[in-house]
Amino acid sequence: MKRKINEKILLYKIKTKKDPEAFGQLYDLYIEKIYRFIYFKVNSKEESEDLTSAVFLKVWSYLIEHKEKEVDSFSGLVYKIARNIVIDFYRSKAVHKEYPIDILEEIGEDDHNLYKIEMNQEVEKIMKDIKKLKYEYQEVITLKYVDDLEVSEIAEILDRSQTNIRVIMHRAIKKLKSFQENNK
Amino acid sequence: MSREIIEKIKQMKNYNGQINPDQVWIAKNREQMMTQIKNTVPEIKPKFNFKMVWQAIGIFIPNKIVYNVVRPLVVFILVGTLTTSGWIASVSATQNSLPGELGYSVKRATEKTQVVVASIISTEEVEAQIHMDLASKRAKEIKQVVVENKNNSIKNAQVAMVDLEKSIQTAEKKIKSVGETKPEKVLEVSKNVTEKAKEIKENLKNVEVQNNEIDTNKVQKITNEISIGAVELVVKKKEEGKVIISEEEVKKLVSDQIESISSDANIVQQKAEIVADQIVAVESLQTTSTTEVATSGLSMLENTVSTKSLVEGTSKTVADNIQQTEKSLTEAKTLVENNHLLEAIQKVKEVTQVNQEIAQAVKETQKAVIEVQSQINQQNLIVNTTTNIGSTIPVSTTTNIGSTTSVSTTIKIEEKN
Repeated sequence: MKRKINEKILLYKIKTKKDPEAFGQLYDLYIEKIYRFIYFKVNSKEESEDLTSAVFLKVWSYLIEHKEKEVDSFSGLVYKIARNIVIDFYRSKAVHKEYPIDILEEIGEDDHNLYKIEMNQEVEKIMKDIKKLKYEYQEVITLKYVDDLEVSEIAEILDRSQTNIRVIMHRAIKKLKSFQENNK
Repeated sequence: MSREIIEKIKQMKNYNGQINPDQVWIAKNREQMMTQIKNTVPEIKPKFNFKMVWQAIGIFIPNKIVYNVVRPLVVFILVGTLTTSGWIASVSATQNSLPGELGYSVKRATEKTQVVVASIISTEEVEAQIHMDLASKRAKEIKQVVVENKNNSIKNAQVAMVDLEKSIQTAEKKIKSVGETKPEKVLEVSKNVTEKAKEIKENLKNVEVQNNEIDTNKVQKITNEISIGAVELVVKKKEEGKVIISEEEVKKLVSDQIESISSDANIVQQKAEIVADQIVAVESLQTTSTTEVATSGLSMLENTVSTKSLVEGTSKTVADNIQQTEKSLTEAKTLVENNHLLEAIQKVKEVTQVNQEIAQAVKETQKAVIEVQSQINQQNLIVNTTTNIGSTIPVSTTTNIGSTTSVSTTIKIEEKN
């Protein structure tokens, strides 16, 4: 609740006073989450960084140019824009026939670049399993447990009902559980 | 099992590596982004508008509620408050306005509304009180108009005088109606009426002294009538047993009326004395004027004759009536002592009538005297001007030339020194 009120105050400052510092504070709050959100989708550090930068610039432009539009939550807005930017990124790659390894290996493929980092075996396994999940399952799982968003926020970002999100979460966890059991 | 999986997922973000962004990149990217967005911000700070208020409220309340409930409600309250306070402020600001001023029509409109509302929701005794209050207000206005003596003060005073008469007449009807329908309320109404009548008379007391073109006799008459009428009603209802009031109290009410009319008689007597003095002054002026301007003396002599005859006639009437008034008042007091209250009131009524006649006679005499006085003054002015033209002008011119020269010489000497 406190976080939401703080975000709304910062949003108010941006919309009414065009306060860059307030936007800077929101950037600090969301940069890691958005990077991770994008990284899970593009699996490339460089592209994640570029797309994350683009997301924040687009959010700023949206807030300044669409002052009359109501923004209920900053998280909803920033994740929606991030999602759209990722979709545009894929489209652009498809047009130029640049099939990125990340997309080709979207589900079920090992990404060695991703796993070059040091992490224990268990986490490595769960990341592999998440990668095996359906795209929408991945989104919901990462938004909920990695980025700590509430179900209502995820529902807003993904344009689905909260019940639907809970069902997806349940199914995703069930699927992960089956993967874990198979691994044993 | 599910919990373990969830815990593992949550741990993912704690590991360094590509899944989490590089802290150096975060800082660098922030710097770049801030530079970029600062360039898009105009230096002029945005001005305040009401949308900011709704957005600020939206921080704590969901936007849907803000725009669909809070905003209409606030606007409604604001408009209501502004309208009401504006109206109240305007109306209260006009409460001190006088006839002839801009706000006076608003003041009268408010009062008329008050009367209409009272006629719908109030009892007749309250209505009588309201009309007496209004009459008292008018009397105060007349006094103020005369004291301020601005343009059209006579006309404005007359406007208020007409309204005052109407208010008293309406109040009189209401009192009669109260006497018939609610005799138990007669005492309360009577007290209020006599009190207000006293205020009205007090305010009008010096109006004629300040401006003798204003005639307050009629208003004084109806004010006295309503006051005496109210007391008479109390006495009658007491005799009928419909009003509970002690002998002493009712006697006091009648005695107050006798005192009041006695005071009026004294005022009229004083006015008569003032007019008598004016007559003497005019007579002496007439004598002087006649000797000075023998040629134009015909019209003056005519005036002298007419004024004298009027004055003699009036003086006789006044003297007779004052004598009669004093006699009647003494009789009225005796009647009160002997508990013949209705007879005493009848005497008071007679005295009021006589007093009114005296006041009227004095007023007319005064008018005649003033008219003659102004004519004499006019004649004297013509005579004086003719005399001045022959003698004063050459003398004063010579004096001026001499004095101017001497002054300029003095200045030159001072400059040389």
